[in-house]
Amino acid sequence: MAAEKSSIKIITLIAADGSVFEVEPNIVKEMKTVQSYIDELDQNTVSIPLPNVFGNDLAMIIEYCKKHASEEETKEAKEEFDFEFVKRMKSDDKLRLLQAASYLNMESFLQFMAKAIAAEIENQSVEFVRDYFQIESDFTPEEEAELRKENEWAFK
Amino acid sequence: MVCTLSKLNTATTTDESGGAATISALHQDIILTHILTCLDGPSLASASSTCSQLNTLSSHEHLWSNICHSTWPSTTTPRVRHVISTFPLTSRSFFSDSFSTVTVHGNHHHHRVNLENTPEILSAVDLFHRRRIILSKVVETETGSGWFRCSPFRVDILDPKDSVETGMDYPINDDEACRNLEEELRLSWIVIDPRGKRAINVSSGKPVSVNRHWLTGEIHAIFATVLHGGERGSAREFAVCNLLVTLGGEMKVREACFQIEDMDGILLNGRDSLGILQRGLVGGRKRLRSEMEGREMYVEFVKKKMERKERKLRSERRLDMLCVVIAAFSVVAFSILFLS
Repeated sequence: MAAEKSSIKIITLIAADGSVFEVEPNIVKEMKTVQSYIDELDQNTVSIPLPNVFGNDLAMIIEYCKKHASEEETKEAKEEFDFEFVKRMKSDDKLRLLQAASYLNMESFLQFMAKAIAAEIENQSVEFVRDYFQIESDFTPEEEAELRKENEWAFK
Repeated sequence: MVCTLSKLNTATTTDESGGAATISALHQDIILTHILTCLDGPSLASASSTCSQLNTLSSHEHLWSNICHSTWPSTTTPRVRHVISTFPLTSRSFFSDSFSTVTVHGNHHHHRVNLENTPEILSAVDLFHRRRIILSKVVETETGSGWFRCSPFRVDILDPKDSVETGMDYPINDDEACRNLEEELRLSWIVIDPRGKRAINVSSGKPVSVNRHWLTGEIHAIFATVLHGGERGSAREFAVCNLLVTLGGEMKVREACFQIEDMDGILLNGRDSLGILQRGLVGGRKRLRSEMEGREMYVEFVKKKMERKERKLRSERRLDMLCVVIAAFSVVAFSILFLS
């Protein structure tokens, strides 16, 4: 099995919008969904359609994986990369990437995105959280008032 | 379900491995196991107020018990765990009771005190230095005995012979070291009423003052909160919970004790202290805007105390004056009577 895997040189990932990415096998190791697909195949080149991930997002995920798979980079450099990586993202991006990470079954990236999202809603008002997740309240005014009272201790 | 996490639901339609139902189940799973576990208590409470789906998800007991355990290591002891499990919403109730400060003003001072309702109290205490836990302990106090009720109220966390290593360096420069400690020390002192199933945090979190004793060199850190005591205008209108942490010469914690003092600076006995704690336990909770607010409330209490003392002195002086005038008058009157 291991010998077969090493024979694969290039993996082609096809995003939902048709954009194509060619990556080395060590990049997709983190993507368990892709990895299990590769493991089942017995070919030298593989192309994998990913209908749930858009090209922009896939590009970002590959960038992240490349940085983290690299053995030359120091821990500090990776941390700094993570920091900048989150900084340039909008909240929409984070939620989409979380979704993609879940689909690709990337455990540590999923955790990383979830932390980034949690950091954004930490210490924010109810309205902010609703806005952030585009949630419409389904509480009656009475229920809403009761919840406010119940959670009064939490609000500044 | 009316409530939709629509952003999370994008790009799900073409998934071949499962239908929409598994996807929405997966989403809940991501929210629950990844996002909600990263939140602190107040943020989790915020999330639970947004919609019924998040409300259900954020009510999971393990989320709240994890938050309790990481905020206050003392809550992991079997006794406290058991008591928390009897609270109305278990860990969630305990957290909302203990996280925020008790509101000083409110109508809860009409609450009727019945000491028989609280046969014992637990103190769950955690002391941190630079976010590192240095002391975590639970002490039980029986409150039924005559001895407890009549003698000054005092809860000690350490036995007189015990001390706890802190690993801190002994400060060289007096003022600066004390200022630094004010920023670095944090105390949580949760008083739990097991029968009433309520809890109250009587600590200001951040010290209200840190001083070095001029003779012994010991460092005294005082943490305090102000509670509503009794009738307006009386010495017990407000009472202060004084928590004193003493650090000995080798920066070991020598002492950590809790006492309650009224506005005349008199230490209250067990009966009166328990009454004040009972009112606090049933009172409302309010989150402070900043850590400074706890100190401001204490400073305000001290100011009121001083004013009260001055007022008392003034009226005493007036009484003295009156006595002097009356005495002088009577001497004059007598002498006139006698001479004539």
